[in-house]
Amino acid sequence: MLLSLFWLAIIGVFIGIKEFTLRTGQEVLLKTRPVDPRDIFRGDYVILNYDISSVDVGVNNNFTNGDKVYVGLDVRGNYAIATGAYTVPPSNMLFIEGVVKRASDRSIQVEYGIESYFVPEGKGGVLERAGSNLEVRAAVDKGGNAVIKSLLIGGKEVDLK
Amino acid sequence: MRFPPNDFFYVIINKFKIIDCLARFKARHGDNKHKNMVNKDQIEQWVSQGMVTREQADKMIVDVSKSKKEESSNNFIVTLSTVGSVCLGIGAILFVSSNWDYMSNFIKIAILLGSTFGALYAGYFLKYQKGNFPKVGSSLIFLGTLLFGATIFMISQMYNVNANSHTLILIWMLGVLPFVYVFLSPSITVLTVTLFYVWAGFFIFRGMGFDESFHDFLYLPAIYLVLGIFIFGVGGFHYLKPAFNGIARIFRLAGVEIAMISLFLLTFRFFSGDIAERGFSYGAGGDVSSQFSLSFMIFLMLAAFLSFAGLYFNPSKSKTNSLENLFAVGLSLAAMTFFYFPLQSDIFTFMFNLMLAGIIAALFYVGYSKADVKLVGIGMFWLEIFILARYFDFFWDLLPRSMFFIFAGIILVVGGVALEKKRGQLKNKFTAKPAVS
Repeated sequence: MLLSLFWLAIIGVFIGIKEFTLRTGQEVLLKTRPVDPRDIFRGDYVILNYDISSVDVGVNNNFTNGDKVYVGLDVRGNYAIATGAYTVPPSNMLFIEGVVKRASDRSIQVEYGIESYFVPEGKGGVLERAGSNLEVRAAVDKGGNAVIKSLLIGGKEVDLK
Repeated sequence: MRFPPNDFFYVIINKFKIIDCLARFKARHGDNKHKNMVNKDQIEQWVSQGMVTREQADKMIVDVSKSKKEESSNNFIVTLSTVGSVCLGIGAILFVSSNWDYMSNFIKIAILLGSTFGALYAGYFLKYQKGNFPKVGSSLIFLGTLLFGATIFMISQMYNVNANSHTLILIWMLGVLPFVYVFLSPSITVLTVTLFYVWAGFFIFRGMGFDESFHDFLYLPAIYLVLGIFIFGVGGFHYLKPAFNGIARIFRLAGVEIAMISLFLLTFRFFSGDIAERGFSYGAGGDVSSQFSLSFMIFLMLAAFLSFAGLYFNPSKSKTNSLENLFAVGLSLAAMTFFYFPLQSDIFTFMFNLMLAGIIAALFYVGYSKADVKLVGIGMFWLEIFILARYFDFFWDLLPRSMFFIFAGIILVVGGVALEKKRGQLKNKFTAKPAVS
């Protein structure tokens, strides 16, 4: 009985964290940046890369690979763009939490945990043809955690069913 | 002193003699009737020593024969049940994934949770409450732990969690870990250790692509050697509680196996040879990522700590504890030196070859000391692989191709027959040793 409750608690917390982000997070539209089209698919999921995946940090880049980073977001036009990278959660602004994948002289490549989108088997051709017209609607909560809500092509939600 | 057969004291004394025989046998070989069954040779020895009568010996031989038949059919049932459980698990996952698009999130979660807890409760009911199908019950509990993992991964797909996230495997492993200690199940223990090794790999290479992790990849055997030593140490401390002896052994064997595979890979110049020839700049620390270096340091410290603690405290109360943990300490030091002090020579390759030979010898020694056929078998397996690998290294360029493969075939066939024969002899020898030491 206790073990069952333990498993229920694990699964409940897992679902709860994601649902909390989806329901309470601010919705943002993220422009995707094309990845190597030959590598876009791994099995049944699409690799997504965003404009905000690369963040300009200026000359004094103190970030190294594996560092946790908080990227400030500002909605300009339709899309959310990166405004800066911080080592602690910035106050009074929307931000998204990530991990530095690669740090170079003036910029960092960041992974936010929303780089995979699972597609039904055989239905990925639609996304493949979209190229850079692909957009992602994501929810970002107050802690900077993000969850993908939907994919869009040319402003229209993709229905892969 | 001999008594007439119908004398009351004769019956009592001989009954105690049989109990004494069995008690000494269990003390020597452990109370595991599946592994160390008394056999006919043993019983005949007792008759010749006057410890049991001919009548009692004949009855024991009949009982042993019946037990062996029951053990065979039990093993068959366990295999069948386990395969059946895995098939059920795969079928449930495939059913859900093939109809994924047409179900709402709520239904998906309901089916997954229903299957997981259904298997768990069915297994618990059959094994513990009803009690008449213990093997099938164990298999269903194991199926429950597999379905728990499938549930975690399916839910992560629903929310598009990154596909290579190490956190998912960690959650699965931590979720099934309590089951190891509650059910004392070998299959769940093996699953947990396997998940640990897989998680470690994902954790070490988290967020990295192949191109940027190539130099880290070359040090993979070194870090898995350290992980194997760590698991071996963890297993040793499980002997502190007698109820966990079975689990302790599985942990230790899992540690030995991964350490042997890693050490074997390190005997090749590709993994341990001249650093410049492998494409590193002098001073590998600059080419290996800081993420990998930090992971290596953490696991090395844990492995070294457990090895030293095992050496000092001897939790397994083993006579060969010093040898076992000295080797663990030695391997940790070798891995550390290799990682932090790279050289422009093949000295490490030579060192790891020597260490592998030493470990094989140690496996034979410990196996013979403990009358442990499994350990001796592991030693024999790696001896054959080691000889074969070095045969390839030395003779590939020296011999004509046809002769090379002919001799290789002869080595394999003759070696395999010899090893199998030796293994059989050892098995009989270890179970036929007299109970009185």
